[in-house]
Amino acid sequence: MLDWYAETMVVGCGNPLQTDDGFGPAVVNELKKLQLPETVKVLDAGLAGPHYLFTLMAQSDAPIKKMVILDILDFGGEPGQISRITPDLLPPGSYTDPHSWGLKEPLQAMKDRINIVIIGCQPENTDISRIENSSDDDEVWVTESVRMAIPRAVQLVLDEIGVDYGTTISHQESNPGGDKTGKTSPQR
Amino acid sequence: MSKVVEVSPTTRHEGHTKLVLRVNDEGIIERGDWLSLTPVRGIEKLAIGKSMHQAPKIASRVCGICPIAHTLAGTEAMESSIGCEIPDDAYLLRLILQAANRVQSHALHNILSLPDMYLPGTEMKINPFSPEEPVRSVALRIQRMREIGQTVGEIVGGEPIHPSNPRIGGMYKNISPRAKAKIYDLAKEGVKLANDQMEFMISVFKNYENRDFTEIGGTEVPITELFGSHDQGYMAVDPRYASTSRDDIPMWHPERWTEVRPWDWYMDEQEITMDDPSYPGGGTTPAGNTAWPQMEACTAVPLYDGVPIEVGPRARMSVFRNYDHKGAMGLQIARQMEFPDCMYTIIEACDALNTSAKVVADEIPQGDGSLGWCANEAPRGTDVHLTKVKDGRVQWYSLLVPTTWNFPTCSRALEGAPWQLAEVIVRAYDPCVSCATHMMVVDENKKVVAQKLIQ
Repeated sequence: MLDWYAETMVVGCGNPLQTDDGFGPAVVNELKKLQLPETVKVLDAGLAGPHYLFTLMAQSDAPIKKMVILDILDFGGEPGQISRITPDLLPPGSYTDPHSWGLKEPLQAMKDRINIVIIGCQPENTDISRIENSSDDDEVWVTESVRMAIPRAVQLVLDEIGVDYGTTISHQESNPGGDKTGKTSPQR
Repeated sequence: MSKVVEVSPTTRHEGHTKLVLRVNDEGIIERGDWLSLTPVRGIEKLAIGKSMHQAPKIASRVCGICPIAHTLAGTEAMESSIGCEIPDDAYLLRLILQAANRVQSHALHNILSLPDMYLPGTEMKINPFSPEEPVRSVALRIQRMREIGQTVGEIVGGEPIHPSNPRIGGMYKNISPRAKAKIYDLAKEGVKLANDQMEFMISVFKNYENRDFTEIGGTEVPITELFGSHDQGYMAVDPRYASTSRDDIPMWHPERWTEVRPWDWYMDEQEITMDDPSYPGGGTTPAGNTAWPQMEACTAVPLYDGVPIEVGPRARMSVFRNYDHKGAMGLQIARQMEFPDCMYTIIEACDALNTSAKVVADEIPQGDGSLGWCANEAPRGTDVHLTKVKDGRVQWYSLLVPTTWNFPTCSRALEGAPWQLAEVIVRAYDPCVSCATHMMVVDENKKVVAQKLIQ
């Protein structure tokens, strides 16, 4: 039954056409450039995370151990700040399947079985993306403050999935979200 | 004396819609307006000036429910405009992708439909999450079919939701022989599941259709003979895949398509004069409020030969297989009949696929601005993308998505049914509202300030 699942799933959620909502897919793009263990699957869930993927996982008995979700999160911080939370802290209605079917909150159904961590970045702007006609290859149109948070998010994910690339930030040592700008400190 | 009742929001489907229903003394709908409240996303304007390679990727992000259909329709519309012929094996990969998406989508829709239905031979409504048999094994079967659709789609498409492998001129890469063997095995497993699931679901829908009553919010509601019927006709371009303007015999005709503003189509301002607090989901809108369908509707009304038509599984079955089963359950049954088809499509395409063959066209013209379109048979119906590409740039782009076609048709199908069953009819269309993208002018408070479509 492991066709589609992996032990560790890293899922980027959001719509790149809504400026900073492209944060999740943007971090996933960067993660895909790295060599990761075979037990880790990195997914750009785009607009259908809750609908197609989370409901699929919630009903499955596949041995998924950990899921790291990358998304924007309005926790009242500075744009680009990152917060690491678990589903217990989510207000009701987050990640609701848009079809509003019986499994309304798939993350809540999964959280006792799967270790779920959400790495959320405070957005600056979620309007329709301003896409220049000349930017042919770009697939990310986040604001500068969120763009600066991408490397840090990559490092936080690597820590979550236990991969040490030498630059992995351990959240035990640092204070995720405490960094005002979300920039990666050069000393680290 | 007719009364007006409003169900808002409707549930167990994607997007935000509501029902404004004018009913007679018996509670039978005389006129029903089903309208989209989902804000527009502006994709068509966003795409102008972008390269033809980028526009389908933008279109894919219009919605996460049928991203594969949007990617394929967008890509093939561009290819039609520039006059690019793709290799056969690229077509086969796209066909596999299409079928995989349809399996996942239809299987999910089963879960949304089942709670309205009864277990045949009992007075028990079906809870798809029940641990009791026989429902549990049905849920597991649905789950397995979704896994198969998701796995196959991801192998061929390169991404789980928004496929990255399709490109202008074909596909970025072919699949490996091992991946082909894997897909083949999955589809073979799926054939049995698909047939079993089809038979179970058809028995459930026929059972519902033959019932005299159903229970909604504690009251018995008669299932009328006209339940969900309409005489609007059907539109479909292919039983499985698509038709484009570069086909020898194009199956869709842009000159037969016209559009009407919602202002000219839907009801004017109505006072709500009837309510039912016991209706599921917290009751209907309290009496005394007003509804203004022509102002609130967010989608233009597309017409084919001057009338609204139905698109989707029943339309495909009717046009290509002389299927004729009216009513909401007729549509549901047609959808189930597509399950085995999808699996056989994957198997046949795998049989024909040469994994060593090239999948990108030798020549990719840059376009001279001529009109190209692709009508893709998405799970919910015909998804038409029209475009003009010149020197590799998109000059004009328009999307006519399945549920936009179905809105006015389904509104007609509501007539003659008890108002409590309106949502059951709506759900039979498997509506997906997000991608209905025509624009309107809204101010900061999201109030409509101008009713014209922006040109």
